[in-house]
Amino acid sequence: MLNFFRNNSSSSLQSPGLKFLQAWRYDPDMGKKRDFRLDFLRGIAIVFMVVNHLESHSYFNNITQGHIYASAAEGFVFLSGFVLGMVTLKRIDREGLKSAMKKLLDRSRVLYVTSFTLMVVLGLLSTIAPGMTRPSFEAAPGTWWQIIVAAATFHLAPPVIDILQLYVLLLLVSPGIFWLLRRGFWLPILAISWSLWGLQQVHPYSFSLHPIDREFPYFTFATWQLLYVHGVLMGYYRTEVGKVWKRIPKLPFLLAMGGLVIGFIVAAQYDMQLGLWPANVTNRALWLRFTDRSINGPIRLVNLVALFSLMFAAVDAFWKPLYKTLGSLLVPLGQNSLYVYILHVPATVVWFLIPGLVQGSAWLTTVLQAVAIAGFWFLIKYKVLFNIIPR
Amino acid sequence: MTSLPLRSRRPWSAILSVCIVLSALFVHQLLLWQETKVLPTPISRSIPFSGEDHQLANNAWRYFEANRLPTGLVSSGDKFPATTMWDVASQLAGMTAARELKLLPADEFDRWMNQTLTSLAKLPLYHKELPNKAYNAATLIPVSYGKLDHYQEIGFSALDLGRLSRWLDIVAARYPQHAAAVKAITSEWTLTRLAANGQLMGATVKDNKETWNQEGRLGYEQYGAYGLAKLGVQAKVALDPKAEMTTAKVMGVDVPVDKRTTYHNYVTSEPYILDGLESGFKALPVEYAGRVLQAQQQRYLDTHQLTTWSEDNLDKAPWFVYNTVYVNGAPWKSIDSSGKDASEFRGSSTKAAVGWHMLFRTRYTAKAYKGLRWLADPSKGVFAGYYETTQQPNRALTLNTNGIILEALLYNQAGKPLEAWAHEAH
Repeated sequence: MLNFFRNNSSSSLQSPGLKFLQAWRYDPDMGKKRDFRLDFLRGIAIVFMVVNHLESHSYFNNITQGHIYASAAEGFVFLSGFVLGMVTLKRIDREGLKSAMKKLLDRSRVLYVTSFTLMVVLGLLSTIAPGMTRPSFEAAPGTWWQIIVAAATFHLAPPVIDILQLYVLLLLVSPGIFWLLRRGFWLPILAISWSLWGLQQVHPYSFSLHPIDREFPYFTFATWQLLYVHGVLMGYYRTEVGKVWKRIPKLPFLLAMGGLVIGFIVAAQYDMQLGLWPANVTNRALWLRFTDRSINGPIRLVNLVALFSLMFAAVDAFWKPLYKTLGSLLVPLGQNSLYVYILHVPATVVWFLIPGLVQGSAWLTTVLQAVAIAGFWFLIKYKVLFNIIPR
Repeated sequence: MTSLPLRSRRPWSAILSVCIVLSALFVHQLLLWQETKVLPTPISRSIPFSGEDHQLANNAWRYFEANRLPTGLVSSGDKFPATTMWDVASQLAGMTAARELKLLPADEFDRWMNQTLTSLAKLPLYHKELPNKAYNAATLIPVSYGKLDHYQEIGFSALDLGRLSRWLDIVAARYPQHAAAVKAITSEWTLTRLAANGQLMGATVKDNKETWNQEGRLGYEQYGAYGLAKLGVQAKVALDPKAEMTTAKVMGVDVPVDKRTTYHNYVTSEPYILDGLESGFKALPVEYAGRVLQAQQQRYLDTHQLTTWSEDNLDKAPWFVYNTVYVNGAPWKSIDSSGKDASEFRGSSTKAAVGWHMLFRTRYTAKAYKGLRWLADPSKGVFAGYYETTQQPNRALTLNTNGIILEALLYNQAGKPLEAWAHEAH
């Protein structure tokens, strides 16, 4: 498992001038049980998410927001699928399909309880202390019993905590995915996944629930399952996918991906400024639709493929300097991302309660965001409440 | 580890995959059928605003702030201090929405509303009977359209006064502190001039001679009559949407049209949207509105042009156009105020896109809303819409566009028709 992508770019690194890069590459023998590159990437995603949710004009936010058609959530969902595909395959071999599937359903149940608890606590708080539960609830979304029923039945979609419901559903359908995979039916899985995504593009939100606190859930299953399913399949068939990846000439491929990413960054800077680009109103409306995050439009998907490829290639190629400088921070955060995610919810609420932070000084909010991330890191280091908070 | 080879079960896998894709295509057809054949029903719940909704409200409110005059009235066009009673109604709608959406503090709203109502009470009336069709909003003198310095009484419009009556009623009911000022305005009006034989009547002066004629066609007519009924004006024929209704096939949709041929029988979005937002389709059947919307959706499916057609100001000559689903025996015509062809200037309205979406929230209205809501200059207001021929924004900035957008957003926040919202105990 750990030699996945091992030789992925060796062909492009043969020239003497680039040989030093070989010494920086990830060593697959580094971890016996984990691929630290994935933990590192998840660490990046969780830091970006925390910074974005602690809304402000900080210097960190300047880096993490609005520069490209992607966010931390896409990375999380894909990587979750990828890791799950790898881990579950091993587990099936070790314990059998039934036991492995039970683990997935257990995980789904844990996330359901977590999601329900967070929504109910914040939702009920919003009924007695309106304005103190931002950004999840600007105001009470209903009466106490409506909140409880809605939280239990996926009819609440409050910002910051709504993604958990998506994971509950993804894990719930995962036994079906693995059952089909064990029978070699990967193509039908892709057919279902792309069909759902396609229907969502043409008939947006046709299969969505109607939450009581917004028009549609942001993390609609029909959209976001695509990233997860491809993650699962790539994790499950990592050896085969690795062979395909190996055959791709890396330099032209990565240059093309880099070109795309630069193009999307440029486009994202202009697409919200009237009349700059696309200047044609119909084209512009189409562009906005194709880059819409809540339906993961096709342009957004192309961007994600390019971005993920580049990021993985970069982390793999420059692993040693990256790990030396940021590894001890990002890897633990990535390995405990659910734990950090849950802890960041109350942190976000507190952040919005402190007057002046959202619009506050860039320096102050940058320092406070750094303190928050360091705080999460220390909590992990000292395993605070590890027996209570899911990881 | 034993992931099964990628090639295993290939024939069955491929067959199953084809079946899945075919099923998806079938579901697509079903959804398409549902979208194009089943009439939409209005939304009756409040949906919290997204960031983009807030931005739209801020942009629309910016127009009011930039065009507020010392009289309290707001210019009907950007930096063009004219107004009509229709536009005054849009002003009252926008101010009410701004107060409720917390864009305008309550005390400032009261000050501004008081100023506005006082100015309305001071307006010299046409023949001392009813408000003139147009006024200089800065000096309050009656004028002709576009000639703001010259005192001129040009007649009155029952339709404009009908819309104003609806909004005076909403303001008086929701904010009782302004009820007396509202009463003082309408108590000066000679209401008997607004109806005859159950029809709405309007007056136009030409060569110093007044003509007093029936006013309004299906859509605008019922919309106006419903508003005037609140003042006690009896226009039973005008109130009946079936009295002069027939249907015309427009892209396979039976669109309700007025069968009279003596004047342009515009079928356009505006009266249906406004009646839905304000009364919840008490003046016009929701079924008619659904068909007018469906025809526009069908045009989008056929042409890929987001279609939300209405009457609109333009940012160039001829300055005003009626984009109609049907008029004078033909579908999809655009004509200017004088009835001349203006198809070169055809295009969709931002206010109609917002209004339809806040009312019905269908998949098509969501596309139109998301596709047009960014047409704005955040320092000046929301633009009227866009031109289909050039695909450029129609940068006309008007009180009507921005007022109706705010009105539609208020409907969303209220979660019910605004008349019911205003009259409920609070």
